[in-house]
Amino acid sequence: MKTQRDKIQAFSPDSDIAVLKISGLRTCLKTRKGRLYPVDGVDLEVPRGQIVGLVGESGCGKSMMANSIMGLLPQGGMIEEGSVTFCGQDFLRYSPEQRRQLYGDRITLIFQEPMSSLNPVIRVGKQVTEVLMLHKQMSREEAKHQVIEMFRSVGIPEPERRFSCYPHELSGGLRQRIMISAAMICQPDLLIADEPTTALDVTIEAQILQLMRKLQQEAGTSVLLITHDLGVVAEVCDLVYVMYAGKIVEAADVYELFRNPTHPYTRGLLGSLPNRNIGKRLQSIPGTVPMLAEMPQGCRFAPRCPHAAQACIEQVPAMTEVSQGHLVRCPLIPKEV
Amino acid sequence: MNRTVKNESYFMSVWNEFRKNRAAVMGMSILFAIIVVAIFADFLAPYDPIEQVYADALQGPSTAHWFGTDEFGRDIFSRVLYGARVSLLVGVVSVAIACVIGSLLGASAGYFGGGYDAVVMRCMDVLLAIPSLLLNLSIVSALGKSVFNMMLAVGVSNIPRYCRIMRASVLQIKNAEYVDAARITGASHMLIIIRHIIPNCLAPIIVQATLSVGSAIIACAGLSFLGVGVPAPTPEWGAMLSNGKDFLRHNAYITIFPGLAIMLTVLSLNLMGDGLRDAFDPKLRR
Amino acid sequence: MVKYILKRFIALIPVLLGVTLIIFTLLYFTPGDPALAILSDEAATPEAIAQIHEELGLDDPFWVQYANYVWDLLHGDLGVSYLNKRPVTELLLERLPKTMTLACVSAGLAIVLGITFGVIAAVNHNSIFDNLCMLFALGGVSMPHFWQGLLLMLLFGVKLGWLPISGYGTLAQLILPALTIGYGCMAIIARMTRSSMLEVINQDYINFAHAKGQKKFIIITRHALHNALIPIITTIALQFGILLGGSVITESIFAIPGVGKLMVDSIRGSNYPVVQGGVLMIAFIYCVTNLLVDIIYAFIDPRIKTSLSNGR
Repeated sequence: MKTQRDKIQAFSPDSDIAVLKISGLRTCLKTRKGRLYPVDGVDLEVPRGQIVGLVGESGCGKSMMANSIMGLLPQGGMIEEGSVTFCGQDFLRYSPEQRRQLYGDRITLIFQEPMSSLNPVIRVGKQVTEVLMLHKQMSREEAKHQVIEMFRSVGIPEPERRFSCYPHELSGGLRQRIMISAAMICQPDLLIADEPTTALDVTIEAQILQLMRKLQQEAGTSVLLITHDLGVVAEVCDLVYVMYAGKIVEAADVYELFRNPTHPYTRGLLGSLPNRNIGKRLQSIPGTVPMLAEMPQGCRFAPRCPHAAQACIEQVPAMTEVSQGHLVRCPLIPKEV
Repeated sequence: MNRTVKNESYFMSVWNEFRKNRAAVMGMSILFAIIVVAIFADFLAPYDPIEQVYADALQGPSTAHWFGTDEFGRDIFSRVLYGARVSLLVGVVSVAIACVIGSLLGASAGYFGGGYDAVVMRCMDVLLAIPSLLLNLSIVSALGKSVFNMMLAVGVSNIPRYCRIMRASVLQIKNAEYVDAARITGASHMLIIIRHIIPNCLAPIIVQATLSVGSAIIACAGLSFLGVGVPAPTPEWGAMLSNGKDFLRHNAYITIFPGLAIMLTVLSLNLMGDGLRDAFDPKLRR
Repeated sequence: MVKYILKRFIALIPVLLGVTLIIFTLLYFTPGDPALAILSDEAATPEAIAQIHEELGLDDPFWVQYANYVWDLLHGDLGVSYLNKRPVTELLLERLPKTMTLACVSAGLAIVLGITFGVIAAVNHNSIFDNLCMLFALGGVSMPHFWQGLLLMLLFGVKLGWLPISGYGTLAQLILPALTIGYGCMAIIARMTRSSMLEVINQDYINFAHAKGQKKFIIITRHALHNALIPIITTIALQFGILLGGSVITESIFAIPGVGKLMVDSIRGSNYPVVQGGVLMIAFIYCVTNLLVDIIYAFIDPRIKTSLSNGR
C-alpha cells in the first residue's frame, strides 16, 4: 500500500490540486431527433479528500456526466467540448488504453443498482479479485487474501463463505458492499458514486453511507456523490453542486447551501425535503425537467420558477458569486428574488 | 407482449415502423413480384414448362432460352416461373395448416391448463423429438407422394412452434384484468379465446408465420429433391435441383437458377419477417 | 443435481415411446405389403406370402404388433432389413459413426464460427463488419442447404478441383459436406449470438467491468459472452436436430454411406424396418443431446443450479 501512495504523490505532487476538475463539459448525444446535450457546459471541482455532492432530479444529466468521465457513454454519445483534469493532468487527452489503466485503480465508479451491477454468472469474490489482479499484478492467492480482508472491513459477515457466492445468493445491501469493495480496494483517488443508496432500504442506506465515509477517510479518496436526495447530501457531503437540465445552477459548501439556498430550484428541492419541514406542508416543484429536445431559451428553470421574470426568458444566465465560494446561476441574482 | 390497446393506430404504428425498415420493404417488394409471377406464369412464361422438346435438350442460357434447357429440352426459365406457383402454394398452405392447428391446440392448452395442457405439450415434445425432415419423410412415405400430403407433412412438423408460442402468450394474458372482466360478465370460454386472447397473440404468430413460410418452402423443396415430394413432371424448384445435380459438371445452370429462385423467395420472406418482428416490438430495435 | 438428471432421464421415456408410436403407426398404415417387398416377384407365391406374414406377425392386430415391436426394441432388436435380411440395429450401428462424425464436425464449425461472427458483429454494432456478418448470416438462413451443397461441389470440386466431391474416409472428403450442413446452423447461431450479446452489452455489470478498468477483450469474452451464451445454448441444441436431419440430404448428395443415406435409400425401396429404426435412433440421439444441453445449462447459469438445489 505504501508504494501505491508514493506513486500517487509522484503523479500529483501538489496535494492542493483538485483531484477532478471539470470545466465547460458538454456531452452530445446523437439521436434520430438530432443532437442533444444532456450535459451542457458543466464546471465542477472535487478537492482532494472531500465528498462532493451533485444533486438534481432524474433526467437532469447527472448520470450522463459520470458516464462521460468514465467513458461509458451510450452509442452516439461523445464529449464535444470542455476539459476534464484528473490530478492536474488533462484526462481527455489520454489514450483509451491509458484511461482504462486509471479506471478501477485510481478512478472508480459505483452504480445505483446493486442487483444488476454484478455479473450474475461470476462469483462475487472473483469480481473483486479481478481488480487487484488487473491493476496490482497480484497473484490469485494474494488477491483473494486481500479481498477477504476487504470484505471483512466493509462489514460482510462470513467473508470466506461469501467470497464464493454468486450475486443472486446475496441481499441488495451485501451486493452494494461487494461493489464498494471492488471500487475501493485499490484505494482510488476518486470515487464516483452514482446514486449508491437509492435502491436500498433506509436503514441499509445509512449503513452504506457511513461505510463510504469511513473508507473514504481511511484511503484519502475524494468522492463525487451523485444523488437526487438532499438528505444524503446533508449527511455526508462537504460541497454541493445543484444541477438542473444539464447545467450547474448552484454551488456552495454544504452548510452554506442549506443555510442560505439561493437559486429558486435549490429552494424548491429543499422545500420538498420532509425532515427539514417538520410541521409544515411539503412543497413540490410544479412541472418536470424539460425534454432535452425542447430546452427553453433563457434560464432553463424559468418555466417552473415561481419568480420568473422577463429577463429569465430572454437571457442565458451566468454564474454569479453571491458570497465566498457560493455560486448561483440565476438572472435575478444579485437582485433579491 | 401484453397489448391491451387494440385499435387502428396500433397497426398503423406497426406499419409505419415497418415502412422505415428498408430491408423489410425490399423483401416485401421481392415477395410481391414473386407472387405476381406465380399468378401470371401462364402469360409470362415463354414456353410450356412440361412439353419435352428433345431437339433442344441441354442448351446453355441463350436469348431463346434465358436460363437454358434441361435434359428433356424443357425451358428452365418457364419452369422456374411456374415453380413459384407450387412453392408459394405449398409454403403458404403448410404454414396455414400448422398455424391453425398449432394455435388452437396451444391456446386451448394454455387456457384450460391442467391435464389437458400436459397431454398436449407432451405430444408436442414427441413431435419435436423427431427432426422435422425425418418426420416429413415418414409421413410422406406413409401417405404416398402427392403435393397435398407433402404440405400436410410439413404442416404437421411445424405445429409445435405455433402451439408453444400461442400457449406462452395465452398464459401471459390469461390473467389480465380485461380477461377477468369478460369472464365475470359471463362470456363463454370460446368467446374469450376468440375475442380477447387470439387478437393479443397475433403479433408473434404473424412474425413466426412469415418466417416459417420460408422454411416450409425449403422443406418442401428438400422433399422433392429426395424424390418424395411433388411428383414429376410438375415444375418444382427442389425437383429441378435434384434433376440438375446429375449434370452439374457440364450443365451447372440447370441447378443454379432454381436454387436462386428458392433463395430469393426465402430471403424476401426472411427480410419481411425480421422487419415485422422489429416493427411489432420497437423496443427490440437495434 | 443428480436427482434432476435422473428425473429428466425418466421424462425422456414417454417421449421416446411417443416417437415409436408415431413412427410405427405411420409405417403400419403405409400401403403395400411388406411380404412383396421382401420376396422377389417370382417367389411371391401365396404360400410364401402367408409364411412371411406368419413369421413377422403381420396379421396380428395393431396393438399386438406395436407391443411386440416395443418389446423387441427394448432388447435392442429393430427387426431385419427387407433388402438383405440383416438386423437393422447392426446396419444402423455400422453407419452411425459416419453420420455422427459429420454432424459433430458441422456442429463444431457452426458453433465456433457462428459465435465468433455474432460476437464480432455485436461488438462492432452497426459497422460495416456488422452488416457484412449479418448479410452472410441472412444468406445462410435463406439458402436451401442442398443447393448450397451442390454449389460448393461445383466450385471446389468441379471447377477448382481442390476437394473431392463424394465419398467418406478422408478429412478432405468431410470438408464440403460439413460446410453444407454447418452453414445454415452457423447463420442461425450467429444471429442469435448477436442479438443476445447486444442485450448483454448494455447491462450495468458490463459497464461496471469497464469501470473496473478491465480489458475490453476480457469483458467481451468472460463477462459478456458467458451471459449471452445462456439463450445461445438453447438455439444450439435445437440446431442439432436440424443438423441430424440435414445429414439425410447431404449424405445423399455427397454419397456418404451414413445413416441418412441409408434411410433415403430405404424409403425409396420401401424398406420400412430400416426407416423406422433410423428415425428412432436419430430421435433418441437428439433427445439425449437436448438433455445434455439442459445439464450444461445448469453449469453455465448458476441461478439455475441454485433453484435446482432448492428442490425445484
